[in-house]
Amino acid sequence: MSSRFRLRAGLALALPLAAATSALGVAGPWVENAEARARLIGDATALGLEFELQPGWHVYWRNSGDAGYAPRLDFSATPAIQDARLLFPAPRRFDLAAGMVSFGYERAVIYPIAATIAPAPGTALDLSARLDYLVCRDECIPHRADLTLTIPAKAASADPESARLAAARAALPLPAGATPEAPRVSLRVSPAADGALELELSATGGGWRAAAPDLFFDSHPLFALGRPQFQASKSGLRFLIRLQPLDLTRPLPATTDFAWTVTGLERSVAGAPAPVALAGITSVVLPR
Amino acid sequence: MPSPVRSLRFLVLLVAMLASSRVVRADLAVGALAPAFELTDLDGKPVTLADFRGKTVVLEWINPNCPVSRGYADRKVMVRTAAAHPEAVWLAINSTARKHGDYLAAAEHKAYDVKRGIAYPVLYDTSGEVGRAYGAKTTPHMFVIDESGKVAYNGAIDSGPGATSTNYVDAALTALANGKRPDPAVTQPMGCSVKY
Repeated sequence: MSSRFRLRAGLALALPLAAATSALGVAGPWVENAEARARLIGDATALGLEFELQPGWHVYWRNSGDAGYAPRLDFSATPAIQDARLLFPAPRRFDLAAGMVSFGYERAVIYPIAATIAPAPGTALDLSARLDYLVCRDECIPHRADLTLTIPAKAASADPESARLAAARAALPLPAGATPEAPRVSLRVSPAADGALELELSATGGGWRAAAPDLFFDSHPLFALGRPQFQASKSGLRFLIRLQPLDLTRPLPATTDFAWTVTGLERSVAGAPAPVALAGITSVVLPR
Repeated sequence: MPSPVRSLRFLVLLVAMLASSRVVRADLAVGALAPAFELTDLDGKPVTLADFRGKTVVLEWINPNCPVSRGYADRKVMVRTAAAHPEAVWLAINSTARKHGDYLAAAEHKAYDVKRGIAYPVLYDTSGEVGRAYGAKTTPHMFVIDESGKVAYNGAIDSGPGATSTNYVDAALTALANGKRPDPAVTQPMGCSVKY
């Protein structure tokens, strides 16, 4: 195994061993290039896509930001896997030149995969998937890899891969409202003092401390979202986000959905797309 | 003697202005007037947007040293799309800063273009001024400007890698040729960041 990927041993140790279950976890072969390597991991009930990256390189969240794109995994060559889609861990922010920003992961990441796995009792399951991904430092390099994974018919023993996949799944952003410890989040769009549209996300209550809160949005069809301006207050967290309409030829609808992820709490929290009123908001500052 | 408050305010404004001129502006909205420009092609010949008033114009942000941009060029995606739409003017703009390692001198750029069948003009924007004015973020990043000089499409060339990719620029040009508005008119551009 390549010595360029030494971080893996340390990473495996850092993950909670308590999460180990009796499911047999296996890992497919790494498909490697100079910047990164990728493989499938999984067991009879869960799958994941694992990356390890050379220092400085990163792969992307589902909204990659101003550059990049998220990995795409195509299981169409494996009929036993249906409706597969990547689940995205809480991202971090990468500042690029000229004020641009992208969202993703560095060093190592496991994307859990949501899928329907057709049970094949008593037989091994051979999976293959085509992966298209972009890995960036200053430069970006697109890669395609054909990944394989064989899940044996019978579970023999607990395996670290299952534990690591379970840990990655457990670390996914928690759906808003899933636990009373998470703050309650509300969103509101209103004109700012200068007339431009502004989205306010406020999070109140809950028992979690915010260490270094950050806020990420899925890409939005109507607005370019500015960098969230964070304000801490006694009652909780408050973010202000400038909204710039992307299309002046179409009137704004009465409501629009925002899907958000707040990180830097004890757990990241994500809000599913939920409608926010735009009705009656007419004060839009046109771009310069 | 100016008041301290006023000079402070001026200073803040000045800093904000200096900062903003170096920053890629927020997205250029569909329906907004496409910013005018005067650039030079690889032969040093001036080309202005105004040269093509009344025509549909496609702007492609290009960087031969960006593997994503190069991949599209190798697959001739832009060349084929341009060939399918002779009614539109196709211009590539390279906003790579001269000091960046990705910068390509004219002779090398020409060789790259010839090898890939790129016959449309490639314009240098080494100051990045035009790229910033358009909010060009990635290579490739595509803009379609309609006959009235307004932005009609802003985003990716297509829906990305994979067998089921949709060519958004082809769809936008077809819509405009049929007197319709592009739909989608906005997508998220994908690729390397522009090397300002």
